[in-house]
Amino acid sequence: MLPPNLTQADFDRAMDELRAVLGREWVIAEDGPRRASYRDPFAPRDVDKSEPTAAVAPANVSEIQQVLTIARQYRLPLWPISTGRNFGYGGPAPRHAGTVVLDLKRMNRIIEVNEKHAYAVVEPGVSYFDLYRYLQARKIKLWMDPAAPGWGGVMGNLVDRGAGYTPYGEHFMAQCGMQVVLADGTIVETAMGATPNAKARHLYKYGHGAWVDGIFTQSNFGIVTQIGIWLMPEPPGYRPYLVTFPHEDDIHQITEVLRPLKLGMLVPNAATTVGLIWEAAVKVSRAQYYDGKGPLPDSARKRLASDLNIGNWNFYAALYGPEAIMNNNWKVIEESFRQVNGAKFYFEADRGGDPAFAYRAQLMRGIPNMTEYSLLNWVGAGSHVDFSPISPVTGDGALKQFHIMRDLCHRHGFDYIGEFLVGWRDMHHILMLVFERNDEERKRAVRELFEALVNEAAQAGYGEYRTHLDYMDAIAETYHWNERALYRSFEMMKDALDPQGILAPGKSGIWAGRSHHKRS
Amino acid sequence: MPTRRAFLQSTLAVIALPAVGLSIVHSAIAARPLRFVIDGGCAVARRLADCAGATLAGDDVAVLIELLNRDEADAWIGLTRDAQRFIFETLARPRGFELRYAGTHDYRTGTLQHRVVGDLALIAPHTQALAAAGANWPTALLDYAALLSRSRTPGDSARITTATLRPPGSADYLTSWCWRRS
Ligand SMILES: Cc1cc2nc3c(=O)[nH]c(=O)nc-3n(C[C@H](O)[C@H](O)[C@H](O)COP(=O)(O)OP(=O)(O)OC[C@H]3O[C@@H](n4cnc5c(N)ncnc54)[C@H](O)[C@@H]3O)c2cc1C
Repeated sequence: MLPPNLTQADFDRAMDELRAVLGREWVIAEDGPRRASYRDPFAPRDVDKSEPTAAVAPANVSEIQQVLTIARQYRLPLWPISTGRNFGYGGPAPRHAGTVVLDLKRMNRIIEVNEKHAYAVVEPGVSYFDLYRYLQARKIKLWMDPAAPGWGGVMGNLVDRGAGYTPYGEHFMAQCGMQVVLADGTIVETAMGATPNAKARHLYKYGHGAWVDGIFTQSNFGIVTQIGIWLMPEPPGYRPYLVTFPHEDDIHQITEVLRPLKLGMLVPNAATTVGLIWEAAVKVSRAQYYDGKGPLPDSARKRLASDLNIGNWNFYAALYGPEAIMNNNWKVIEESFRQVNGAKFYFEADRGGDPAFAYRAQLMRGIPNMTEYSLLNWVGAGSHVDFSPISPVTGDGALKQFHIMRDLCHRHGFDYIGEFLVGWRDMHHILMLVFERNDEERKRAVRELFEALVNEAAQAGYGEYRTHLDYMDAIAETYHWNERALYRSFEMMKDALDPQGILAPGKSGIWAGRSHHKRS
Repeated sequence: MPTRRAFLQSTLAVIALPAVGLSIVHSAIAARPLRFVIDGGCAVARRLADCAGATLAGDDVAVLIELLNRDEADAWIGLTRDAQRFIFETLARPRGFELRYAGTHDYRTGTLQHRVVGDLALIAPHTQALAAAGANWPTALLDYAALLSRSRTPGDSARITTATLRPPGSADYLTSWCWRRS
């Protein structure tokens, strides 16, 4: 499909001009496996709806500027991606068919790692694996914070406001200093970076005047080309642990116990309370326990818990620091969680050979891996979309969200596969809707379920932190207080920074004035 | 169909990728090198590696990415669960690989159902070999490796069911595949 308002002849001319700038290899406009690699294979609706018309891959900022000149001339919509692994939220695909993916994977330099001040500066194409290997190879005693899939990128994940599992798990909080190319080609250094020869570019976030870094996340106001990210100094000790809880409604008490531990930083990392099936699906598949339709019955859930020695909830966190501090903190943590009847405690040595414990233990100390993808094997040939509302760290909030989401899942014939990831003052409740990729009936059911989730969560006062391409407009509509004042302000910024609307049309439900009509 | 197994046994090495449950088996079958990717977390898939006499040589999915980037191997053949297939496919596609053969092997109904998609010359003999091998069906993949890698674009499919139960420690739904550099 062609970009809107562009004739085939104009499109071909634009591609030729892009080839002249980037070389033939890096303008991928022909049908074939390379262009197909920019589709969203997990889309619950027709993949054609977000089929990119081409992809282009510049090698540096100057090439990005030249691409922008051509895009402005032809009104060619561009969808920037960094590593392009945003699976569950749309993968590398754009919001709209006919958009050209601006693939920044060739810009993959680790520009600086500063061990003294514990930060790194990276370009878009740097994956977690890349940065980890760099740190290891040079024996640099700093930890990074990967999202669960290690092939994701330090920048791509951060600008989509993703999360990891070490004490630096809130990725955007650890960001400091950004370079952005605007739609008109202007290069902007944010905060301290705006002072020539800046000495504290990656040490102080705010600089002088308005602090703008946030507007370049989950948005379409610019193309981020460099980012500073704080890394965690390797602590003298590390001890990951698991606490299992037997009952579904224990999530209330677990969360109440957890809040003061988090606020007091006795649990310093982004800890997770993982539901039964999420925990199990890394190791076994659904058919091994139940071959009927609908959600797993209680009898099968009980067998699952007992076979795998896991709970209905499984709390993962870690101790960091000198032995004496870890020992002291553990006393408080253990005492606190013992208040929940049936709580069981495990350290690494107790869970030898358990792939779920092993990958979580790696993530909480910044070692990237890919184990969590095994969750998709729960249904054989699985795909997933994530529904991710934010919850306060309260027992009432957690229990209410859990009940709403579990009951809706069950009503629509799905298993509840969820976890609560506790940040600083909130919990990201991540519901993985795993469905059979090749089953149109299940895809339809997922779409119905997702709509119901958005509506019920909004009615109960919960907003989503991030969403799949297909639901960006729907989630944006739930942020409608004061006649969409927030989104109207986004639109004003969009019209000022990118009046032609060439950057990522529709990202997070933000459209330029001229393309408002394109909302689905 | 000449068996390649004896030849493979003398030339294989494995890179195990426990992080994703993958193992990569190197081989220099025929004129152009092939590689095998095996789901290390699954007993049935490990049988293929055992049968090939493979040895361990690495432990990171980043190794897979690096190999795909610099490797001369022309074709990659896999026996993995579906998510691991997806990981490979996602890495292979943008590097110009094309799917030449795909199979699913499903124990979920109490029997074993093989469904294979490839070109006509391949499908019938390969399906028969899978069926004839019974519980040892992964070895049929090894025997047919050279043929799978030469398959043209998949267009034909066949299905066969055998009375084989899922062995302990095995996944109940596996995929086999061959990607070849275009
Ligand atoms: C099994 C599984 C587990 C997952 N676990 C996690 C998890 O633990 N934590 C988590 O956060 N996510 C998780 N995800 C979601 C997702 O896979 C990761 O967030 C992944 O890191 C995102 O892909 P990426 O890093 O390659 O970003 P990209 O795909 O490169 O970017 C994501 C989006 O950000 C925008 N963007 C990217 N780069 C730029 C740029 N330079 N300028 C402007 N805009 C840009 C674009 O809109 C793009 O679509 C999981 C997914 C799966 C399938």
